Amino acid sequence: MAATPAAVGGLSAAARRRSPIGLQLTLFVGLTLVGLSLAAALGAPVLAPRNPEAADLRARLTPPAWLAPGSPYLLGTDAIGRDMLSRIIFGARISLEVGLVSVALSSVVGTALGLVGGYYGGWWDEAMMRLADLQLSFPFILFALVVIAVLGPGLSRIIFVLAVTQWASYARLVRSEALAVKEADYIQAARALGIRDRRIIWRHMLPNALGAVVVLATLSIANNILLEAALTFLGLGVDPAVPSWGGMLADSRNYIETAWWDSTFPGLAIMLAVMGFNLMGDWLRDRLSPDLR
Amino acid sequence: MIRYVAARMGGALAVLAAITLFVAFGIRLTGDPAVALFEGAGAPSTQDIQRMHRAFGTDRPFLAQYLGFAGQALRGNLGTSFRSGQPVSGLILERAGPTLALAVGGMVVALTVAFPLGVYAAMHRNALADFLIRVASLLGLSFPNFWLGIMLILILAVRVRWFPPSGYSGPMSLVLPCLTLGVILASTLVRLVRASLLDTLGQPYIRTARAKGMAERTVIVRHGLRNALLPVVTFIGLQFGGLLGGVVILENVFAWPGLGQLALEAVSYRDYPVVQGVVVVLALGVVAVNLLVDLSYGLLNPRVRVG
Amino acid sequence: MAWRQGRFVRIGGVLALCVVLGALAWGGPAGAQSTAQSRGQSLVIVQAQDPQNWDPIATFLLSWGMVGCNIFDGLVDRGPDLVIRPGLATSWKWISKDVLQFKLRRGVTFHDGEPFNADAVKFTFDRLLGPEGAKGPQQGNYKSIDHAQVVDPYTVNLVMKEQDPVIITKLAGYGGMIVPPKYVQEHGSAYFGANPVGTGPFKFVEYRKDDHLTLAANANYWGGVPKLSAVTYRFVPEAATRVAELQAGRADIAPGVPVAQANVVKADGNLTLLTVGSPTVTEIRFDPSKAPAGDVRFRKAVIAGIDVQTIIQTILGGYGRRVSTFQSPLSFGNDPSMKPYPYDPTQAKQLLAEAGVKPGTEITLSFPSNNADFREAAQAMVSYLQAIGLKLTLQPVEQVTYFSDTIPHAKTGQIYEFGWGGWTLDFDNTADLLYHKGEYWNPVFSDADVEKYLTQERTTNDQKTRLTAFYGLDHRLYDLAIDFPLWQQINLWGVNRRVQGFVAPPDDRVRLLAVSVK
Repeated sequence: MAATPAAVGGLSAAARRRSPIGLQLTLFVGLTLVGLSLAAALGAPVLAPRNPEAADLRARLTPPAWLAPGSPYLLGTDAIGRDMLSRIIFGARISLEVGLVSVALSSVVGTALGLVGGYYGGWWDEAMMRLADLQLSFPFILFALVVIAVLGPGLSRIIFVLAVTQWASYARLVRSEALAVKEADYIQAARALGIRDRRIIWRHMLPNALGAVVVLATLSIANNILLEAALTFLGLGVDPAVPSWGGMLADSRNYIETAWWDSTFPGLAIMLAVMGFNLMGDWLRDRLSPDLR
Repeated sequence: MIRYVAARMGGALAVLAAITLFVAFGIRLTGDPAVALFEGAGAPSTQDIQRMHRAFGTDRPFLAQYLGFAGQALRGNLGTSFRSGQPVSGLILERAGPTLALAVGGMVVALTVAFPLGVYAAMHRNALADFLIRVASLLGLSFPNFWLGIMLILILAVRVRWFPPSGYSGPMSLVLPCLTLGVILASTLVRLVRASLLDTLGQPYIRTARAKGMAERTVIVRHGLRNALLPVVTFIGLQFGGLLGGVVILENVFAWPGLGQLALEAVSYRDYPVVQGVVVVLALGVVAVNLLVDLSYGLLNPRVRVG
Repeated sequence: MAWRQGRFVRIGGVLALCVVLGALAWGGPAGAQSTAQSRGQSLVIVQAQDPQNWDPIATFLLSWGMVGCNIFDGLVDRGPDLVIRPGLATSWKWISKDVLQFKLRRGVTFHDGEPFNADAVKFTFDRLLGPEGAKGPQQGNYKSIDHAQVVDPYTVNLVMKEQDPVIITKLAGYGGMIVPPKYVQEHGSAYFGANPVGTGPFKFVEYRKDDHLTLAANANYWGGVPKLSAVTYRFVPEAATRVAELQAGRADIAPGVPVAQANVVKADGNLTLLTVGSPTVTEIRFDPSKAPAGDVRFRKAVIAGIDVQTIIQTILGGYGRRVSTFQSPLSFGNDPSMKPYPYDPTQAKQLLAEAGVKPGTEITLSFPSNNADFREAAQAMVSYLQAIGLKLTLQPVEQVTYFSDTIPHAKTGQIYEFGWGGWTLDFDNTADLLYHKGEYWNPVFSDADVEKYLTQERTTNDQKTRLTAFYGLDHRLYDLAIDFPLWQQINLWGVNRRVQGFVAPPDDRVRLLAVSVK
């Protein structure tokens, strides 16, 4: 079952004729949003005005500064009096760590397996494909429930669950690209010339697959940030004192009517970060697609 | 063709066995179904635990338990729930309806919204409408589903009382959950339809058809859409497993008596027969959908016949 | 080629906008009440959990009690004031040291028409103490009973095999609820669990798992005819959704309103918020086997470093009462003259220094992840302990694992949360489980004095002696600082104003006999 070009997102040149301004805008907005998230994550101790874990119960549920003049809390406080702005900034760390690490793991492992399987074929490839099928047939939520019920909640568990359930998509994608290229003339020529397999894979097959992989990876980062929020909602999330956008959103669900800022700002943060990565993925898809096939 | 399906079924059985083994093993590693029934409210003594284990059959070695389960399952008997004493297959049948309604309803909403919008956006590429649709779809993709659900309840069921806030009580109660699911699915689908249609419309044979004087609408419907369906079908197939995850969360928010709720509670209470039964059914569902997707490929695009 | 669709889209959009704006103007709380009134004499209750099995011997869940008390009766009953009163038995007395005799009420029938008599009582207890009861958690609660003995059709003896000062109270519990012999024997326990039949004021009509359960009034009820015609329980796990159902007028009563939404309920003109103190108490326990929790000075420092009063006032919205020992004011054995531990961060720092605990020492607090209020309190504790120089890490654990693995196998952090519903209203039950050496939920702690007091109060039926022993125990525990009792839980109920005669129950049993709607 080949991954069709459109499914992966590599469009024909004709479809790609988007206006250059449109392309630049996508890049600009995407880069800005992603950049902001990264800056927040990396520079949190410096950027955040307060300790995100410092609670001041008397000041709980303070509205944002423009609604409560004189309040030192720019974005208000949450249910136990912690500064929303600082928590949002620090929250970027968890969300990005979950998104980036899980995708890094799954994409690297998946790509490697896909390349090897696609190139060498044989029973090794068969086994890997069966395993990938198995992984893709396993409903994500059930897997997450069982693993976290057994290992307990925590950041590393969530990353583990996300990575393990997603490698198969990369493996399949890369494998089909590899298979398509394998029969090409220049590859046959290279093999005939005696060039080492590893070189062929690395130099010739990987770059072809890389485009699709990068697009999938970028989109998965966005998706995984959302999944972390979902898992926390179900009670399978990280330490609640550690600020994470998903956790903040889940914990504030009872305050939507009385303290809208508790859920709106983390929700916005998630949306903007996810949009940023999606836009980057879009742009990458546009830019890389003329090189595909 | 028959051989292909048969081979796939055999593979499916192996997959099911692997998944159920993993789950059955994993869930027995921690927690205790006997203690779970005390809910932290009563105090279990060692004798209590032992006698309950004997009644449940969980005092046997793991392999004996698993083989017992597998043997029964192959004959259609999925065991009895520890918590409610009801046969698991009955429980699953009861819950399957609402879950299917939610999943299918969500898909229907998604398709109904995504196709016209995707086509429109493709037709008016780079116009303002196209831009707005793309931005809207981006927003829809970035929403956590439980948040969207709660917001919809607040707006459409409390502020204005158009729909019931929760529960499974007829067609009106289907709207909010399916809308939540559908909006999020639609966001990805719109982009897919648009991209796929653009891709197809850029193909040489479309240009030929146009040059031959074929009406634009015919071009789109006869050739464009049919080919655009391919990635959409793939998408549905690939997304089905993930769909389940979204369904579980929405069932929680909307108090929807479906399989997701059943699974969540069963895992919590270590109700082994129910967990194992639900896993079998869900995995079977995913495998079946994948098979259907592969088969429909052949129907949609004769060049990509399977088997 | 221009698509005519464009125009349709625009027109359709404007129309939709008009409809939405119109509806927003029209919809509102007045409309919600008419929805409620349209139900007439039929009541809707939304609760969080479906106990999944209506057989009284199969569960300990509070959510069962909310429903079960309307379908079944026990030999004795407990009103909303938690005082024991006659139920299916009109009187009882100890005719010897080990035999408790009951005189039964006459003229009572089960919902399926069977007569209630001593045979039904014997059947119920045989079943509870036999192989059927072995599958469920209730049996262990009644193990002090040896068997039930029929004397005549309206007199029955319970023969005890060990001393049990709280057996009368336990008979008001689920396991002691009387079930119909013929019905159960004919249809089997599995069917009975899904189609319950009892002697209560309401009888079973319909049940859809995890969705709803419908009951109809029992016109032949021995205690009088219910004023309501029907009751529907709906199971809605999400708290915000339950409150939404109240606001929309689709539910009349909602237990378990989270503190965060208390003001939402109060602000709604159609609703009223009822509060009631429950026998459930929350505390933090120390695991002395994990350093530095073995040092009493460390324990006292942690206790002095957390401002529980402020937590109650803010996070619990004032809906909680401080306790000095791990029992509510309702419990027999509570010493009302004892003051709760004071909040004193300066002293806390001193004690830590004395104990040699360096600033920045890491400790862990374990708790069950589904307790939303405690989650917030725990996060506040991080901040408090930071202020006295301790780095607190929170470890939420999934509930079942917490009770079946984490606590019994001493896998918690230095401190961990524990909540207990003292349903017998007697400290014995709690104290034995938590302080007696080697109990299931007390794998580590033991103390000679504590054991002495426990033995004293258990081996006598004289309440004065027991009270003295309890007071001794209370003070000893206070000095040992082996746990830090936090607060007595106060439950919040959201009720529609059309409901009359409803008393918020401290034990979560929603008694509907006297309830009516306007």
